[in-house]
Amino acid sequence: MLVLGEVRTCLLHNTAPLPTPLVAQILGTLPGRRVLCAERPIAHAMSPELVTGIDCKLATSSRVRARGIGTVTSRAMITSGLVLQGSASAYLRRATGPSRQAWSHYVDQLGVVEVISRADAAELAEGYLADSTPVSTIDLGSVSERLISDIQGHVQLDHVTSVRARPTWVRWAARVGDHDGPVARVRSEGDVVRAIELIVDESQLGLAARFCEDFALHDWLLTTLAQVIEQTNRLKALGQQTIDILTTAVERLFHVWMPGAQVDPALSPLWDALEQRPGFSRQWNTQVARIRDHIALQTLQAVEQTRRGSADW
Amino acid sequence: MTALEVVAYSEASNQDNVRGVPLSHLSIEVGHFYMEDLPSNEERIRRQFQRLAPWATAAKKTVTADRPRVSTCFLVDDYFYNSTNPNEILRKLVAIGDECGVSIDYIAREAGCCVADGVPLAELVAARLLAEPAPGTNGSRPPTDQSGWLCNGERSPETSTDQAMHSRLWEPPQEFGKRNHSIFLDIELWKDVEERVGGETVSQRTWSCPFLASIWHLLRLGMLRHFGEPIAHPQQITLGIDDIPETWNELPAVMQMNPRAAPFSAYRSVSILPQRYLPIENAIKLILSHLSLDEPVIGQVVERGASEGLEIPRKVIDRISHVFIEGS
Repeated sequence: MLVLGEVRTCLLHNTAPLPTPLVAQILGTLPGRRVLCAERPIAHAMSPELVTGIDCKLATSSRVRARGIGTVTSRAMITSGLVLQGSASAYLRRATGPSRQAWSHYVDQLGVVEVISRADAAELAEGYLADSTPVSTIDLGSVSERLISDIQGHVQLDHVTSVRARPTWVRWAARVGDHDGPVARVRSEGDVVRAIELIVDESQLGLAARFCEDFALHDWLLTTLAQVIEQTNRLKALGQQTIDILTTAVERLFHVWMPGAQVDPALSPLWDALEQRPGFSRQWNTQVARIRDHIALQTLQAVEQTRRGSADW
Repeated sequence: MTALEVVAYSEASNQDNVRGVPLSHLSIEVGHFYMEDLPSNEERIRRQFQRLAPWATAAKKTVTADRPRVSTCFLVDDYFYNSTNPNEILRKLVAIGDECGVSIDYIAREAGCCVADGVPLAELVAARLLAEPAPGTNGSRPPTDQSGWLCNGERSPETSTDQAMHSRLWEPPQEFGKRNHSIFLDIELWKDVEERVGGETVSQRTWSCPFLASIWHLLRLGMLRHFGEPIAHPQQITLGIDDIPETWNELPAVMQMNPRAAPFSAYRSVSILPQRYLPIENAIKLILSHLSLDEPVIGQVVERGASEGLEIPRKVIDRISHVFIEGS
C-alpha cells in the first residue's frame, strides 16, 4: 500500500571523525548481527534493524478513522565517521479483518503495520506528512530519536562536537502511482523539518527509504554549511578568530557531498530532478566557494600582516 | 586483523551470510527430570521412559518421508543445580533409555542455553524480544515492559494503598488477543540480583527456566546464529571411551551420544513431557511468539523444506508440538 518513514540527522558527539572499527562497534545494536560497513564511495555504516511494536491511530487527510497495528523497523547510520542518522519506517498494508490479531501474526511480518480503515494510500500519506508533531498517531520520529540518543550516549564517544550543527528531520511517505517515472515532492517546514511525498513504481517502494536517508544527509550538510557561514560572519563582526571553524568545515564536511551515491539507479531520476530545482549541488557549490573565499581572504590578511610586521623591523 | 575483515562490504542487503545447519524431519524430546531427581531415583527415570516410549514411537510415525530423519534428545538441568557427576548421570540416562526402548541421540545442557561456545545465547535472544504493544502505543515512548517480565496483555493498573483508600476500583488485567475472556500470562524471564564480590556490588543476572528452555527449542529448530554462524554445534561423546569431565560446565552444550543419529536440529519438534511441565511449556510458547528472529534464517529453513517438498511454517510456534503424559 504505502511506506511511511522519518529520518533524523545530526552530528555525532565526538571531537574527531570515528574510525570504521569504532563505528562498527557503536552501531552494534543487536548482538550476533553484523554492522554493514562500506568504504566506497564514502565511509558509510549501517546498524542491524531494530523492531518496535505499535497499535495506534493513523492520521488521514480526509479525517477518516484509521488504526495501525504491527511493527516498525529502525536503523542507525554513520557517514564519514561523523554524521549520525536514525531512520524508522513502516510498510502499511490493509488489514484483512476489523480487529487486532494474535501478536505472533505481527511478529511474523517485521516492519509491517496493518491498517484497519477505509482510507486509501493517498489519504494516509497526506495525513501522515501533515502531522509533523504526532501526539496519538504513529510517531516514527521518536523511534529514530531514541536510537540516536542511545548511540550518542555511547561510552566510546567524548561528547564534544567540532562544528555547531542543528539536527534535521525528514518525514517521508512513499506510495505507488501511475506516473511514468518516480516523482518526489519536497516541502520545507522551517529550518528543521522537511516532508517528502514520493510516488513510485510498486517495485521501487523498498528503495524509498535509502533515497530519503541520502536526501536527509545532503539536506543536513547544506543546512550545516549555511550555519558555518552564519557563525563565521557573526564571529567576524565581533572581531573574533574564524579560521578554526572554517578549516573544520573544509576538512570534515566538504568530501561528504555525494548526492545519489547511496541511491538505487531506479530512483536516480529523483536526484536529477532535485539538482534541477532547487539545485542542490548549485547551492552547495556556492557555499563551498564562500567558505574558500573566507579562507583565502584570511590567508591574504595574515600574509599582509606578517609582511607589515617584518617591514616594521 | 584489518578493519575490513571485521566488517562486511556489501550494500546489496542488510543481511548476514547465514550458514545452514543439517536438519532432521523431527526432533523428539524424550522426557525431563529436575537435576535433583536424577542421581538417586532410577526407578522413577525408568517409569517415565516406559510411559513415554509408545508416544515416541507414534511421533516417529508422523514423519511421512521415504527416508525419515528423526532424532531424539534430552535436556539436563545443570543451570540451577549442577553438583552432580556428569559421567554417572549420562551413563544412567542412556542405559535406562535403551532398556526402555527410548534411545537418546543427543543430550544437551540447560546452562549451554545461557552461554554456548563462548556466545552469550541468552543475551542474544533477549535482545530479540518484541514486546506486545498496548492499544495507544504510537512509538513515542520506549516499550513499557517491566524489565525481566513478558506478558500477553495489559497488566492491572497499580493501586497503592493510599489510592485504594480513595475507593479506586481494581481493574483486571487483559489479554490483547483474547477471545471474549482473558487468559493473562506474565512470565519472569530473568532476575538481577546484587551480590557483594570482593567488596564491590555486582549485579548478577539469573535467567529463568522457561527463558532458557525457549532457547533449547530454538536450537532444536535450528533458528539461532551468531554473525551468521550456527551456535552450539553437537559434539560427539562416546561413553566408555571418552574421558567425561568431573563438572557439567566442562562439557559441550549439545552432546551427540549416538554416532549414527540423524541431525540434532529439525523442521519440527515434539516434546513428550510429564504434565507438571505444562506451565513452563506454555510460558515458552509465549516467549517464542514474542521474538523477532532473523529473517534470513526463517527464509532458509522454509526454502530447505520446500526443496524436499515440505511446507514448513514460518512461525516457530507452529513447528512445535507437545505430548503431556501422566505423572511427574
